[in-house]
Amino acid sequence: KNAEQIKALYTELHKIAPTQDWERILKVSKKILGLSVNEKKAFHCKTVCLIQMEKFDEALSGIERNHEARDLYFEKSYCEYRLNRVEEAYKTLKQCNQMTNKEKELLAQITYKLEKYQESYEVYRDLVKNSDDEYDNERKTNFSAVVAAMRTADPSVTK
Amino acid sequence: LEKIALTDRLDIYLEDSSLCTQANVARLALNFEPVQCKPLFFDLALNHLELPNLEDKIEQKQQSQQGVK
Repeated sequence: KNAEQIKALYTELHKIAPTQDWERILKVSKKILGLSVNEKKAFHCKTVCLIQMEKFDEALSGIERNHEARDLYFEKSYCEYRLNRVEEAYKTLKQCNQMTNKEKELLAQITYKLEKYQESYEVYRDLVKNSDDEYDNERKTNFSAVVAAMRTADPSVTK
Repeated sequence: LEKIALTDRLDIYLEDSSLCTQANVARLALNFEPVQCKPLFFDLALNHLELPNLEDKIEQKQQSQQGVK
């Protein structure tokens, strides 16, 4: 009975996901978690909703309390980044051993904030080369900010 | 000399009677100084924040249910 209800809720979740109506998606996710605490995907959905609603504290404490959510490195790190706990965000992200573009994008932003410009530069160079989305201009803008910061810190940097 | 603000002539001694009445202690409107601007920097990581793929959740449940039947 429970499994059936959960499946129905997941079907609903799947249907409303493209609406980006985070309040509603959050509600359904919480319903699933109410039926079964161990539904990892529902927890993941809940976390994404909270972040989209800028409730970073709530999202983060949720992740910290849930052992099943230990591999939500990206989400955890992003919350820490937005809560200005940038050192922690860096450490969290470094635990992820298989970085895809989304982790790299966050890493590049974190290292920029931490003034680790060399590292940020390397990550952005890789990202600019290997990303294929509509944010190319924004990414290049960020890259330029890193290069400018590097030059300010050390005027001998030419490239 | 009395017209120069006191903060700008600290090393010059002057028996300044005007200090008792209308004191010209410091200039109020400070000069503007150029500072480096903060470059634009976009939060692109937020665009990567997506809901997990639920496709398998629906599939799996269907399969396991068929198995039960």
